[in-house]
Amino acid sequence: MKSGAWLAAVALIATGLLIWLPLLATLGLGFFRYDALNPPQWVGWSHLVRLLDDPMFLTAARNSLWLVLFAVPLRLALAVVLGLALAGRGRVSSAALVPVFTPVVVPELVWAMAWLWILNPFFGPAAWLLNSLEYGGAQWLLTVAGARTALVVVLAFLIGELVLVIMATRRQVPAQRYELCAVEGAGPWYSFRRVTWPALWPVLLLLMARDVVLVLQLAFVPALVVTKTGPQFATLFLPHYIYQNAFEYLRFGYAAAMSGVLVLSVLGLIAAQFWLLRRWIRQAG
Amino acid sequence: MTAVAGLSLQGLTVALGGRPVLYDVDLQVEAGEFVVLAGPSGSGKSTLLRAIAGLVPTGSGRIAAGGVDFDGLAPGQREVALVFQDHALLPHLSVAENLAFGLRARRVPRGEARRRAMDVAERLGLGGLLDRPAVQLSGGERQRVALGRAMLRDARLVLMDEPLSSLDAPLRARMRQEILELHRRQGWTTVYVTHDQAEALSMADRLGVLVHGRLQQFDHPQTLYAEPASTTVAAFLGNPAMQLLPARQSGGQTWLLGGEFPRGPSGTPPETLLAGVRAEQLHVSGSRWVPPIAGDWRVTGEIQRIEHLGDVQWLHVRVGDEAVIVRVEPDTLFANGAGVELGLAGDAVRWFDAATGLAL
Repeated sequence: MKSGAWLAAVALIATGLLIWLPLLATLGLGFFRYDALNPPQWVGWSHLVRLLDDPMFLTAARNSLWLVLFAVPLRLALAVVLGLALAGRGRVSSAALVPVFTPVVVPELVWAMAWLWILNPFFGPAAWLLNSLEYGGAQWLLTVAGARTALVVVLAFLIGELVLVIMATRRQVPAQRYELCAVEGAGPWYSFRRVTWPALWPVLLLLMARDVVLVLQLAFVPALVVTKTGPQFATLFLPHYIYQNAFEYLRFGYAAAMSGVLVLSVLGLIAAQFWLLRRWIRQAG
Repeated sequence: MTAVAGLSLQGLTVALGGRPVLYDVDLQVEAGEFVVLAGPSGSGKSTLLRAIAGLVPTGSGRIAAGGVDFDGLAPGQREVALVFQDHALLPHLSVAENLAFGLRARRVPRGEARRRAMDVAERLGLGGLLDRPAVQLSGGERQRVALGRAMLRDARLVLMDEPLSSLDAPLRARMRQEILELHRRQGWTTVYVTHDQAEALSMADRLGVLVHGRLQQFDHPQTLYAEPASTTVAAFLGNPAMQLLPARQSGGQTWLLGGEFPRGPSGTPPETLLAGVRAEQLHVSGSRWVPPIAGDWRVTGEIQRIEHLGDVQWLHVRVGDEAVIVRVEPDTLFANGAGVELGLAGDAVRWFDAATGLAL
């Protein structure tokens, strides 16, 4: 065998043991009742049937979908604006990268604690700001919409990696293409549409697929620490509900069934995105 | 200011990132002229082109073309066409879309832009490739698309930045002719930048040589070749370049490579003297080319190496401590190590002051 094949084999075994095997085991476990104390007991499809009647699961699923639909486009749009604005080489853009990237390297828990203070409805800076707009404005932070918005804001600050990737993509575009635009008298919108966007969209497509998964992961700690899944379960997301079922209620089989549903829905969502965007780009092209 | 039909640069100075790149460049180009700016890499020739297009900020001096002062005009308002070194085609667009790129940028309606692009494509022999993506084109086809885009800019002034440097040699020779024909047909005023001295000599109506950000000489190519104004111009043009040999003057006599030269430079002689000699003007005993003339300068040397280039051979002859290249006909046999007599007509030398590098 060639060395390349050996390397591929090693990688295959490693990902097999660490990713594929546990994934398959989880999918399989969804068909058993298992509390980690007694041996697993076959229950067939009954977990899936039960999911449809579980109001908490349905709430968490709806909340998760809502988060993805709001947070992903917002994060990508912000990253595009920042990434393009900072793509010029110079001291200003290098300096601006520090605040953009810092939230990504700060440990999640520290980050969440900071927001706990910022968003505190009695003495946090957000409350002060809201109260200065309208008397008693900080009450809003305690509402369903307020809590969800706060979470989206927290996630909107965690875009350092997205900004970096978009900056790098923009820098890959040969400078001559922009000089051509200048000489031909093209406006900024035309240059963006004809030169920047064609280089950007394939990367954006990948970032978007990644972000659907990532947003749910990133929301886990802030939802646990900052909003504590409340108010009225308005910030309860699937990963958290799965975690509760598995490790608090010891319903490992039920949690595994939910995990399976989550994985397949995310895959479906990503597939739908690719299909829609490709069609749209082909029509626009 | 006076209306200039072609292009006029007065005292143009450009610095990039605090580093001066162009010093006080003056250039007057007539309307319809094909001017080549040549120079070694790093000489500032591309920067000069980009300054005319408005892509780099100028320090002092003024640029005007077609009677319009370019001061304060954005690149798009200058109405110049720029042909880029690597063509700057947009790979995801088709040939037709690349051709129409500028028209669409200037809000020409889609149908009209397409029609004009087709018209130009037809004239450039790209008619069958209209819907092909630019990535699938050959080097020559890409170059034609870039030229077509320049045609569609409707500019009087066309700037070309080493447009042929990415093509192979036979294609380059053919494209030179195509570009010159296009220039004439379109009635362009063209400024063409290259580092290739052969391209510069063969294409230029007038040729400027830039070295270290200064325009060393600007004249007809034959004049630059025969009478270079400085040693840098002499060393840049011709293949082989003009050979610069140390000479000295004493007691009214001029000595070159140990032989007395019949005619020295006129005027007060400089401290140290360089003789610029072209390889084709040297004659060598045994060669049919350039027969010896009575009263010539004569020295003896030894053939060290023979380079056979097909249509010509170069003899590397050692005379004292100096090596000299002589061009001779391809079919005469010379032997390595053979002693030969070198000769040169008294008026076939261009004299330079070695200290300043300037011609005398």
